[in-house]
Amino acid sequence: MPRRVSPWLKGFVIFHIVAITIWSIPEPPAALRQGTTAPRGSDFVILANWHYLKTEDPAYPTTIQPIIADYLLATGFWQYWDMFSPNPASIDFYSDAIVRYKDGTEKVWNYPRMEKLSNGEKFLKERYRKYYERVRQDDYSYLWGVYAQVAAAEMDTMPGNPPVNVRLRRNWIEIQPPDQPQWKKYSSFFYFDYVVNQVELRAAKGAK
Amino acid sequence: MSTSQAKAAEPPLRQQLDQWLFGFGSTTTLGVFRILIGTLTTINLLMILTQWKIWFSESGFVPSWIGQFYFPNRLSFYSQQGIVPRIDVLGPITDSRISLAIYLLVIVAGVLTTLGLWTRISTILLAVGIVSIHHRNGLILHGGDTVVRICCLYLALAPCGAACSIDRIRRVAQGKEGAGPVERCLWVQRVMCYEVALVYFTTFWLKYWGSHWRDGTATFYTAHLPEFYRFAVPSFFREPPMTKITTYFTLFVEFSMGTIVFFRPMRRWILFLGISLHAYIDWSMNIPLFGFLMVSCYINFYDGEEISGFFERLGRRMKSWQWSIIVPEGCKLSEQASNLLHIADPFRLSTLRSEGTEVRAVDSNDKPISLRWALLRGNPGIAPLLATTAFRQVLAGAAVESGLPDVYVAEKTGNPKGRKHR
Repeated sequence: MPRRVSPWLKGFVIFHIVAITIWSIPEPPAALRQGTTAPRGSDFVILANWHYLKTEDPAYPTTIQPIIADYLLATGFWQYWDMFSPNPASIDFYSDAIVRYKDGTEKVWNYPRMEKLSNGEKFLKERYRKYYERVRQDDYSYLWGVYAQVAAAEMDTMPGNPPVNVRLRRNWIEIQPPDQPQWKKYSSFFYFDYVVNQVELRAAKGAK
Repeated sequence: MSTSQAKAAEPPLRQQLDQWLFGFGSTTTLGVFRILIGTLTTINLLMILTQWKIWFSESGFVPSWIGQFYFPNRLSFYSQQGIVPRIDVLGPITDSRISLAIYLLVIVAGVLTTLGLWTRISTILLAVGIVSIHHRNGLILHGGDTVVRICCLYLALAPCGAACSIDRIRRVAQGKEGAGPVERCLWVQRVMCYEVALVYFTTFWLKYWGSHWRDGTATFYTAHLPEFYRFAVPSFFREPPMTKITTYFTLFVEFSMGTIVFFRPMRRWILFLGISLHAYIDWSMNIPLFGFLMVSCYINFYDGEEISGFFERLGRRMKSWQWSIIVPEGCKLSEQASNLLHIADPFRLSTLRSEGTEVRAVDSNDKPISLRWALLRGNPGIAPLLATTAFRQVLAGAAVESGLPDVYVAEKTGNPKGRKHR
């Protein structure tokens, strides 16, 4: 086997390293992006990367950004590393919903809460935690209808008395700083009222 | 040679970098990395399989249209020049039976990748499958999934079947390769090292804006989030001043893993700190597989020879596992059988002895032992080989005693003394 590496391969590898670096460099916080905070230190690198290399901003037209974006997003090499960054979450959330049936009765639907599961279940059901981390946010409101419909399908257990309405509820408690007493009581807020799609409900029941 | 002379003799930095990134070397590290990532990826896929319907069917939380809305399967970033398709085999499929079949196929690819069977095809299938699964439902992905995806893509580009694989044993059994380490360009291994450093360094960099990381309270918050609770830790670990120590320790390890880890004299200590960090996180917090995945990637910081040496040192400590193959006096193993035994025994547990009149195997106490069992005990990975055609080809025509695999072909030789089988 010849011990030579093709210049094309070398070029590709260098392009790849540049691409993943540009994509992984932290994104500037909003204050820095909007210019309300003066950049200092490594902020200049981050801002330059954001404006000229990573984002598709008409104010900063570049030719390299689309190539990098398309390469990483198409192949699956996209990546961004923000574990517990810039700050770890300090609010504990859980979700439930009030399901109203055709006869007017109401029941509570509970989305899996990690702390209520055994260690084995937690291990397997980590996706529920991750999904809820997203679905609870207003930016993901397009998910709420499907989320409520699945809740209705799971609660559709009484023949002739299907769920007709689902109200999604967000429950949360804020972790207090170390030098302050921790709160005990969760706050709650109904954030989405959903009229159950009966056709989809029957289809889901048929599929069960 | 003086220091200045030694410095003058060193090649320029560009050449050193080129040699590091594109140099050739043993593929053993890539082989072990493939086994680790293949195993963890398969476990990851099996975990999701238990809730497959809820995450990948049309009646679950993420029907196809949501998956495509979140991750459009055609990109328009290069808007003036057209559109680029994503790797997304599952995206347009709404029939759950077909998508489940594809999902199961990806699991099979994961198993084959782990074993190193048809490695090139299985790693490509696994990479395409994992990327497609992630593009089908990106809403449930955590950091560990990103590590899985990136690693699978690198495996598909790497010569990772060249070592520690069934493919490799088959090639040796067929006489196509010798027992020495297969050397290839190691650019994938080097990029993986860079990738690991990038993960830690950019995470560390992003924490620069985190007030809790600066004031030393970050791990206090993570320790008090019920959603992450796993196994119990002493209560003082969850309170100051311990949380201050663990916060700054985390920052130190992340910075070191992004920088100092490349400095060879410090490498093992920094990696040890990284393993300690992940061990503590994995014990105390429910972040499935993430720590295992990151630590598996650390292996890329070691060359193939270092990994082989580690296994050999470990094998020397496994005294009760050691065994000997005894061939009749004046005989030796054929070259092909010798090569096969060499690569099937990474811990170097076997020793060749030449005595008596029959071929047999004995354990460390000189008690008879099944050769098949002795081989499997030292390397369970060869189990699927015992029934393969390649293995049978080696057996064909070989002189055997009852109960012994025919692979050990005794040939007449002038050297009656036993030798360490290396």
